[in-house]
Amino acid sequence: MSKFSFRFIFIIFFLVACGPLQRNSPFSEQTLEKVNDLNGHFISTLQNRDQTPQDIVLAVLSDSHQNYDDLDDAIHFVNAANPDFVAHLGDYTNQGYNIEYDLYTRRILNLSDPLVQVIGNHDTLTKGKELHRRIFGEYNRSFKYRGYKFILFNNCNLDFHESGGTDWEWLRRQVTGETDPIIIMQHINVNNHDYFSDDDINTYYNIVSGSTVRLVLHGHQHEFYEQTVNNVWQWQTSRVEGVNWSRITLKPNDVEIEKCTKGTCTHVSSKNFP
Amino acid sequence: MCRLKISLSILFIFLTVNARADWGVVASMSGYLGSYALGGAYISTNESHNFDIGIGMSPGIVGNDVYQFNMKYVFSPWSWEPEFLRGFHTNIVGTGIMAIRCMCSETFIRNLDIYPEQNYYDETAWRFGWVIEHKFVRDKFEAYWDWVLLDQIMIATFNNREMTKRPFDYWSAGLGVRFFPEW
Repeated sequence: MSKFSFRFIFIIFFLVACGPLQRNSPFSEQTLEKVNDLNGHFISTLQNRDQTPQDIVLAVLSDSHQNYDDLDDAIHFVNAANPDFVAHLGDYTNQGYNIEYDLYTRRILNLSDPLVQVIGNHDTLTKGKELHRRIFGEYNRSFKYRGYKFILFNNCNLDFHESGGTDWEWLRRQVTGETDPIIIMQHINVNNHDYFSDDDINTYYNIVSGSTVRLVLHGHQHEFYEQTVNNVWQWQTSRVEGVNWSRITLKPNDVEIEKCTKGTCTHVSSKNFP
Repeated sequence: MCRLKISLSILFIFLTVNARADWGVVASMSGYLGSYALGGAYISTNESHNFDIGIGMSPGIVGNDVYQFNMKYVFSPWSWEPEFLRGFHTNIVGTGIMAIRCMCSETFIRNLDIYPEQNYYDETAWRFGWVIEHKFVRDKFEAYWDWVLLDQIMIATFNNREMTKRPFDYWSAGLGVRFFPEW
């Protein structure tokens, strides 16, 4: 066989074999982006900062699904707003495929500030549970930053049905007896009757009402919405489509909510906590 | 992986040949069709139509290995046997479709009655794709490389303005060999 044909064949095989397209089955846990425990990494970054209680600006994203262009734009405006950190409240994929995890992870690494990630119901599909746990860390997590306690709470009750659903006792341990003001970040709205029974909803309000929880942030319903039920103040962030996001300003005694579209933020509500 | 693919190419080059039969076997390392896949291959008499059916496997990291059912069809209307290939011929380019179905049922929705409606989530167990394949053939052996475009690109195109910024987001590439013995 001629040297030319040898080289010709080998070049073709090398182009494919050692090329950049090393994708795997969409049903697997393999990802191209090799990152682990991003929540842990970014929480450490936050906790290495000065912890003296002071104003905290939090940018909130939710339900970006496969709106990658709008997510890119939202990241641009969030970066310009220079928050202390960013929270994404879940549904950053559509069907939990490893491809979607790669496409999302690649984007959030463009954020200038730390990000904490909550799991959404769509993110649990396919191998999403394993992928989220590996890439972002444990589903339930809490941390303290500048006088506030932040709780990342997995309340995808139906999607974790086979492993016992929502871990209410974990939430109770995080809230009960806490003296610092608390912000809970979760995906599903509290009084969602598709996901929660009346007992579940009552359990939640029994845990949270009368505690130092100042605000519950969630997504899932794809539009901005504010409500207070059983004295629990709740803010629902719109989906990213349309370049929507929220800005939450946390002061020692005040909390302000703004809804944002692209670079423009509008005051929604604020509360004083003496 | 590079070393294994080099080995496959060397094996392909040095094996001796007899006339090809219609049914054979296929082995591949093929992106969306699995880290490793094995199955049966059928080729039409005029070599224009290729059907592959098999099982793909992708190793797990923290969970179990994933197995999937693969089906692939490629239509190759051309054949070219240039002198510099010295007895090999190539299809230049073939095109077709593929379908994969995960055999990991526990990964997907069970107890559908707990969700508000039956189609609460889109189908996740099946995926489809468009295939481009380039192969080299010598008698009973074929070696090919393929590119597969996953159907998820259609959802992404609907939800995004500038897919041209991300041309490779939904492509995978793979290598494989087919062997058609005299049964």
